[in-house]
Amino acid sequence: MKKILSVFLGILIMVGTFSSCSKPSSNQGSSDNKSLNKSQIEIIQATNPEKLPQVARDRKDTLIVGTTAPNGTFNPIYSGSLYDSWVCSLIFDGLISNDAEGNPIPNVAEKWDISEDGKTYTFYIKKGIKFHDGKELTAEDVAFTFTAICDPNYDGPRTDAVMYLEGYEEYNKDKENKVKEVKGIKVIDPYTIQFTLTEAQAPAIWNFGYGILPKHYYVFEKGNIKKLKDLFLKPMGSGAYTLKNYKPGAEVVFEKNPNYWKGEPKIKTIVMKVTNANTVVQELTSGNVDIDAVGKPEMVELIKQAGFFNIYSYPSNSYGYIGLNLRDERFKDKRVRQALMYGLDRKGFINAYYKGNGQVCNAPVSPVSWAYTDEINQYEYNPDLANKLLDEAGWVKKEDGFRYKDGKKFIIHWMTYTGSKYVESLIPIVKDNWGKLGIEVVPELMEFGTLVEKVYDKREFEMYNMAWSLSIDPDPSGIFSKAQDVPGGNNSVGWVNEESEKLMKQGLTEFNQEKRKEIYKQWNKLANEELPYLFLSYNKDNVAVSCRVKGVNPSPYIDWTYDIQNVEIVDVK
Amino acid sequence: MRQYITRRLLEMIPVLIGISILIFVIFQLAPGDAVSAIVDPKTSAETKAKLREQLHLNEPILVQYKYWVMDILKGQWGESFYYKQPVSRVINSFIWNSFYLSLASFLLSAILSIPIGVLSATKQYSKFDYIFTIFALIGISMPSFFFGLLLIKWFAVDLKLFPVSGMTNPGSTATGFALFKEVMHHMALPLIVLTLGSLAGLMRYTRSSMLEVIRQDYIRTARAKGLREKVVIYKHALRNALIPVVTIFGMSLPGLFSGAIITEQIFNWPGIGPIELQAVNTRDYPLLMGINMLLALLTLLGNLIADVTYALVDPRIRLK
Amino acid sequence: MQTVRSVEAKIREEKILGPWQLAWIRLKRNKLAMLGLYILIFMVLLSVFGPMISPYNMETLDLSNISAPPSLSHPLGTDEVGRDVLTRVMYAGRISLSVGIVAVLISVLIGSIVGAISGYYGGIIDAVLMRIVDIFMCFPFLPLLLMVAAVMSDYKIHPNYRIYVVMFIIGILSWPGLSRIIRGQILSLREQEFIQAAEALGLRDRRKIFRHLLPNTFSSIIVSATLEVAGAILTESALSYLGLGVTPPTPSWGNMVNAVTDAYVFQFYPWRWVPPGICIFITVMAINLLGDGLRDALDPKLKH
Repeated sequence: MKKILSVFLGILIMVGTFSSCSKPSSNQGSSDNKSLNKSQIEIIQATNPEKLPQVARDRKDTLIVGTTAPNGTFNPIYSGSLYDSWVCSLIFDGLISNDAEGNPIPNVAEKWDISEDGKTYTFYIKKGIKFHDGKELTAEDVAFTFTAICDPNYDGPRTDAVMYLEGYEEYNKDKENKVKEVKGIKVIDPYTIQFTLTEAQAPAIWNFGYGILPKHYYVFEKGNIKKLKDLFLKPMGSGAYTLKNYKPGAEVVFEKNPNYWKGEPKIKTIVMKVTNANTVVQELTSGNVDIDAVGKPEMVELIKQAGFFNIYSYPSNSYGYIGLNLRDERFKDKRVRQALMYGLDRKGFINAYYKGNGQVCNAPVSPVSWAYTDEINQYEYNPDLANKLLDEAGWVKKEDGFRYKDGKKFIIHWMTYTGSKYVESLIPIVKDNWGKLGIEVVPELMEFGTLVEKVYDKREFEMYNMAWSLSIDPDPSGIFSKAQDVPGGNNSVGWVNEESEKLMKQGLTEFNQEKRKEIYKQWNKLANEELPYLFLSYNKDNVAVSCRVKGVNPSPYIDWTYDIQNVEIVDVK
Repeated sequence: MRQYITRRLLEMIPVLIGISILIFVIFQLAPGDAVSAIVDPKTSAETKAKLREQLHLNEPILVQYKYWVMDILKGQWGESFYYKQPVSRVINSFIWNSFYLSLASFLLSAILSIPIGVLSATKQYSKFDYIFTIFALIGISMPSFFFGLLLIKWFAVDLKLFPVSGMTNPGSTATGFALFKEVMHHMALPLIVLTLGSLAGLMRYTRSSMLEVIRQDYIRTARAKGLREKVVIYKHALRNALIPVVTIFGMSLPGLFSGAIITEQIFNWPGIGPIELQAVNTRDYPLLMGINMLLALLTLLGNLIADVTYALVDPRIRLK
Repeated sequence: MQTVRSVEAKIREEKILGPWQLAWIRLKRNKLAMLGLYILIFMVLLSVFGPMISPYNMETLDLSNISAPPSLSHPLGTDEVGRDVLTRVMYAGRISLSVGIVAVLISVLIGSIVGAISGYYGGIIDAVLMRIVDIFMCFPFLPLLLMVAAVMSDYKIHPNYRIYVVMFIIGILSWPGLSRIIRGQILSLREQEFIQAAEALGLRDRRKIFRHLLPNTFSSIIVSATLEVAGAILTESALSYLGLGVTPPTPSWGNMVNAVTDAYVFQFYPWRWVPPGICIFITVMAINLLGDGLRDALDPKLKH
């Protein structure tokens, strides 16, 4: 549902999720919206529930949720896409989960302790949790799950969750099966498990949210991880639903687990049906689908007119930006970056493209995060100031209207990606606005994968634009740290700043959230002043939920799978 | 004839080996790989390096080719990076859906286009001819996306005659004839869109080569002999006019399996078309190479079938 | 003396009415074909001179006037960033017409020559040529195109010049199909009486192929050319997904008509995709009419 940058292919249309992005970790959780900035969530109530089509009324015990096609990697340590992670969160449970504000909360683990030095995590598992086959979930299963990620032949996307476990290297490098276990994973008793890390890191708690695999079902000999892949389509966990049927590219059908430890689910069958952005409005308004994401504001309008949907609209945990290669002499000068920021009518662009469904971004943190601050420079469109800054930086405007420095004309080659309406709207505005400042912009479009290689692996670019989708934890070091300034690393622009390094380190090792908040506020001020990126936009997610469904309240950190056992279908008059 | 076919089949072996090398080398040279396509703040450069090693992406090209060929010989065609499953299994789970749809459209357009083409030719410059010419030209100059949305609007949303998308009803457990009926019901709209697209070409080719043939001397002779017009047209003229049509039929064999990206996408038809595109986006080269090899094989077979059919349509053609 | 002169005059007259002039006369008599020709000329003139006359520039934005319906100041309305659609349609014609025509010329040239040679000689020549065609048809073009796009960007080839490469690529992509169609027909034609007669007369191969065999496949060539013009115009915008087409803000009919991929634009802003769609249709139709007329005009069997 989170279509960060809906990618339209010219003729070969297809809406994918090129999210240059991370997926929010496990998205299930329970708790209420305590301190989440509620003004950010807008709920449009259904105005005419009586217009609910007959097909939907007749579907008494089945919930149909629209989705982009999952890959069929139905295993919490392998699931790559958001849609596979939905499947996993219905079938599996993790040690911890998160609430609507993005705080960790107990799930399979009733509680947990973090040692003084921040390196040892002890989880206490709730007794009596049963897997779908009736066997009890114990610490052994947890240990098995995390050991599987450490396997020498593991090729899934979760390695970063175990890399800091003590003994990971020894276990992972050993292909002769001499090292039998990971030192940092210790089963204390059937209901207690302890993880020891080599470094203390505040966000490390999120590494323990992934669904737990039953050892007796998935067990495999070290190195023979193929067994997990063979069982992708026969997943078994402890979750509220079991997989009943999977038709690749079409649908995933679930049936409730009547013995679910959090209570018997109220809906018998859930179908995740594949939809696409082009026909989602037709699917929703004809009553074929109960819940789906709606991208464009015009479509939200059509759904609103249908009258029988509650629409949840909130900023997504992501932002769009322009990256300048800071190894380039021209962009090393902070004044030039600020001038480009002031000289771009970001608000005009956002209004034209999002039509009220987005807002201007000024720092690399989402407005939904507890680390967000708006006590920062807003960089309102100001061409005069931009011109002044460029003059100061030594870029002189000549008679031809362009700026020159040391005899060189200010031309920016901008590499961007094809098939995106976002880009197609941005290009003319950037060309026009910066052209007025005396800078020539030459846009060049390439296929997304090609662009990614150029930007991250080869780092051959002057300027590009992309988007980041963020994790729950606001730690920015995964993107902006010096350590990431290597080929293949995420700090492709090469922003290295001592002050930033210091603050990020502090933020990582501080476990008190209030204090972290203060640290990230400072860091965001710094990023806002230094502009490692030219920040562009935040977009909103819009989720339509049929008025016959009760208990689904999507918000930035929780989606429809949250507390699914409490979701019910009600009669509509 | 048998000798000819055997020879051609034998010729296919070196050609296929050559194509496999070509495919492999070009994919190696193409920008990006499965690991470079991962951009995620939680995936560090270190993890990427590890993954690259895991997937043998750092090894010399010859070694990688060896791995690939061995996988093909094992019948698995390598493992898809994205699906983490053998390529053969991924292809198998999508390709048949594409095949059913494409085959239906192929049959329908063959059944419609040949008679229309023949009539257009025999009644050249009549109203019938003009209407279908214009119809065909609209068909080729508008993107199929347009027809897809139009049909959904008219027949699915307004008239509610057909479902908006999918191949079966959500959560359906139908089997046998009930399943067949359900699939046909869902197939109707995408079928129309696909047929409109392929109809134009076939129709125009039939018409033009028919026009060509009915001006030939032997047709005049046949008429002069006093044969009935129907016999002249359908028995003598059509046979010879079918040569280009046969060529096109032969060339459409790989198309039956390659999927229709746009149409499958709009109607959420679970075919292989959108999967190919996704594989480009995720740089899932093993999957793409697998699809490419399969289509190469079908292309060769299709061309062979066309060549053999020429001789059946026109006995004067000698195959050597 | 006088008879000699009259014979000379006759010869001269014959010369004036060589096969091409004859065809031209016949073509001129065909009203539909002439209509096609005029439309085509009109489209070319419109796209060459239209943007010069227009008060708008194809790049001028007007963020206060987004997706406005047709009005007096914007006869075809404006697009998603407030640019004048009419100006863009006319400008797009330059790209699309040249892509369509050049690509088809390349494909027809290669396709018909390879097909004719292969079909006429048969045997080993046929086997070799057709295996080359097979390999072309199996060629993994997708990664190749990605590669070409990346290489062009490595060498910083200006986006505006890449379109020439695109024309060439589309032409190269589509000739194998045509060559198989032509070959198939020639296989059948060369067994017919008139070629046997030509054989008996001892005509040279080149003459037989280009004067006698190929003209008889002209109708297939015309059909394939008409289909391909439309195909090439639409393929250009598909290639831009791979980073090979024109670069926005430069418009082409293909990428303009693709505004229809947005369901909302499809339903509520028809002025953004109907005009380029009609332009493609009209162009294809004009080429089709002209092609049909040409075929009739060039038909050696037709009595006049």
